[in-house]
Amino acid sequence: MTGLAQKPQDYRAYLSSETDLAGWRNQARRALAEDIPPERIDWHVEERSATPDLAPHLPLPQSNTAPALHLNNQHLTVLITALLHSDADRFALAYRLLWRMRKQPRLMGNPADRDVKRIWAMAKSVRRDIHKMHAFVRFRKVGYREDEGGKLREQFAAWFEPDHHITKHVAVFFRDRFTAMDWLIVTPRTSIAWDGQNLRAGPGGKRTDIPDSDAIEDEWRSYYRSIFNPARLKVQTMKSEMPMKYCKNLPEAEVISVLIGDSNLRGHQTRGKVLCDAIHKPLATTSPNSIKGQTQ
Amino acid sequence: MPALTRAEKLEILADAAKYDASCASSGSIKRSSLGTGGIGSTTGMGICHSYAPDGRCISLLKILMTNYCMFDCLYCINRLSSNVRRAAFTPQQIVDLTLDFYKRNYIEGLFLSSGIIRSPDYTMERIVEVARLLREEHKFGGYIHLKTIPEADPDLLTNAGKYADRLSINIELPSDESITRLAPEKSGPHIRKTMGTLGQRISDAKAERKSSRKAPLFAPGGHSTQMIIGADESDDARVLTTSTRLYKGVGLKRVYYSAFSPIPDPSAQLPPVAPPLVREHRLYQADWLLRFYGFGVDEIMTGAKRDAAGKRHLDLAIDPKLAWALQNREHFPVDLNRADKSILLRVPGLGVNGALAIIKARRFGTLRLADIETLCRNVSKMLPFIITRDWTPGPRLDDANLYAKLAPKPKQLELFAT
Repeated sequence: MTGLAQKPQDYRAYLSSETDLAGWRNQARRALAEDIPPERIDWHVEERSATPDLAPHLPLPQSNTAPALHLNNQHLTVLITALLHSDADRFALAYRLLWRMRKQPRLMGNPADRDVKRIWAMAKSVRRDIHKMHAFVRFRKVGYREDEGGKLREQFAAWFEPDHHITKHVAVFFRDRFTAMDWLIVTPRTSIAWDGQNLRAGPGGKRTDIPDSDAIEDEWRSYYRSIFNPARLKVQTMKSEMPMKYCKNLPEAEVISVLIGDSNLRGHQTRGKVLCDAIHKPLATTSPNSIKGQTQ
Repeated sequence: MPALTRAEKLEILADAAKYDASCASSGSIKRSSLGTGGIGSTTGMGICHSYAPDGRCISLLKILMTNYCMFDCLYCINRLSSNVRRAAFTPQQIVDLTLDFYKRNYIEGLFLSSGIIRSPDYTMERIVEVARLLREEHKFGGYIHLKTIPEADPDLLTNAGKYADRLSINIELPSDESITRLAPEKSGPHIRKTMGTLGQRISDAKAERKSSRKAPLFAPGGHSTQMIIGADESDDARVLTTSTRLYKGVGLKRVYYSAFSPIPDPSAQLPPVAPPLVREHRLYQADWLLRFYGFGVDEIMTGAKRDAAGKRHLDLAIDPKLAWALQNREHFPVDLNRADKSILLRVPGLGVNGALAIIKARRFGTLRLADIETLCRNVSKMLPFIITRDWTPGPRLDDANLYAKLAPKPKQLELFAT
């Protein structure tokens, strides 16, 4: 599978989910304490499709000794952030780094090392995905609910498709920002919700679980049209910051091609090659794989 | 005439606000609505919620309260003598619109500016009233940037700073003469004086907050300004001198440069065409050199070009750091394995992140060119200026044609590309 295995992986570390960071940390500590080299561990996420057990696997042995390994906060954050990446190899990579750090304690600080470079890049890609989720979630109003005190609470819902396993991680951001309203964010793998008291995580869903419009969206598009300065067209900059994969869920995206077209007609100076339908066309054909390819 | 709908007003008043380049929503204190039970937070980092096809980030609801104006600044689309369509929001309408957009996660907050109606004081009071309603009546915790009117009573600043994350006053033009000529109701010295007062109060409030967490806030995100480029004769040397003076003198966080956009119905005193957008881009690059790379204006201008009228402008073909390096080759080549950070930052193509990565990586061993390629994006540009364990530029650096070799080739192909 990963190409890392030089010989049969005789240990298997079990992770209950793609975001079982505690499970990874526990078992990594045990494996380090027992001196088990990275190529002998198969990191197995139970919610992924099961790999057939061709060779018998042992669970990692229990261990009472704590490994003598110290990570500074920054490097620990990088590791933990990278573990939210969608790359199937991330748990093994993170363990390999810990393993190598026993001999080279300052390894994580060496940006020229291949493994280090990769883990930093993964963490960066996750951070970017988190940032884009903060930015590009678009709530639609669903209605009202009467709360315990008899007051009306507005209710909102949104559909979002993150690249990585970040949904539960961003819940706190949305709670701290939208405390006074009920909200629900549905993604393909996970959903998160807030009711004024509790954050809850649930199963994933579909785009059609969310209403397909909101009365305010016309005003938002009108704002988007007006704030754009046609004398300064720079489509490439826009596309690099607002990749197409996000556009399909943004209410304002549908006016982009019209704005660019109008601006070209008026003969304004243009930077970047522009095809009027370039923004919308590729969306339908963007496969999950090509999305991954873009961000790594 | 039938009353305008909220959407129609929005169209007019957002259109009128788009010539203001600032969209920053960063650098303020952290706020969360969890404690207040309201709506809105700030994380300290700005968030761009969308991007317009002009490549600009959309972070804030950027609107004018009204585009009626009693001033007649010639470069401004909303000047008294312009025949643009006019509209005015009530404070409550702006509050509702801000909350409607914010709750749908379209924006980080509000950037409110206004034409001057009745009097500068009246206008400023209304602007502050919007911020007060948001903060006090609606427990709004999002970002608020208020444009400040320098002609208004200084006491009004107190409330503005109490509610806003950031305040700004536009310097408008690089020289006082141009301000007098193109914005007859404004005065350069007065604008700078008000900026100075703002800067002082911001730093006082910050100092007080350090000793007591309960000390009142005053525009914790600092203050900024905007300068219009290409509406007057000022050259880049003049522009950058003005910026440096403002950064040092009044503690500005940012100077935004806005290439003059020809407006409908222009005055004959204005140039008929826009300056090339790349001029604005070069000024931003030079501004970064001033703020983060330890350059002075005089140094940057050694790479500048002098036009027929004797004006000193940044080279449009190459970036200002490269232009400086080509005129100051005695500082090169720089040994990437030995040089201090301040010297590394002078290498063309090497940014702050690249320099820090090199300093980190070289603790693990002497760097080769392949290592630099791993660490930095733009190594080809650096080659004539650097030494690594396995690379020295040799006579390249003294090549009289180095400029021609490093400048981007003229893009003839674009004629045929569609």
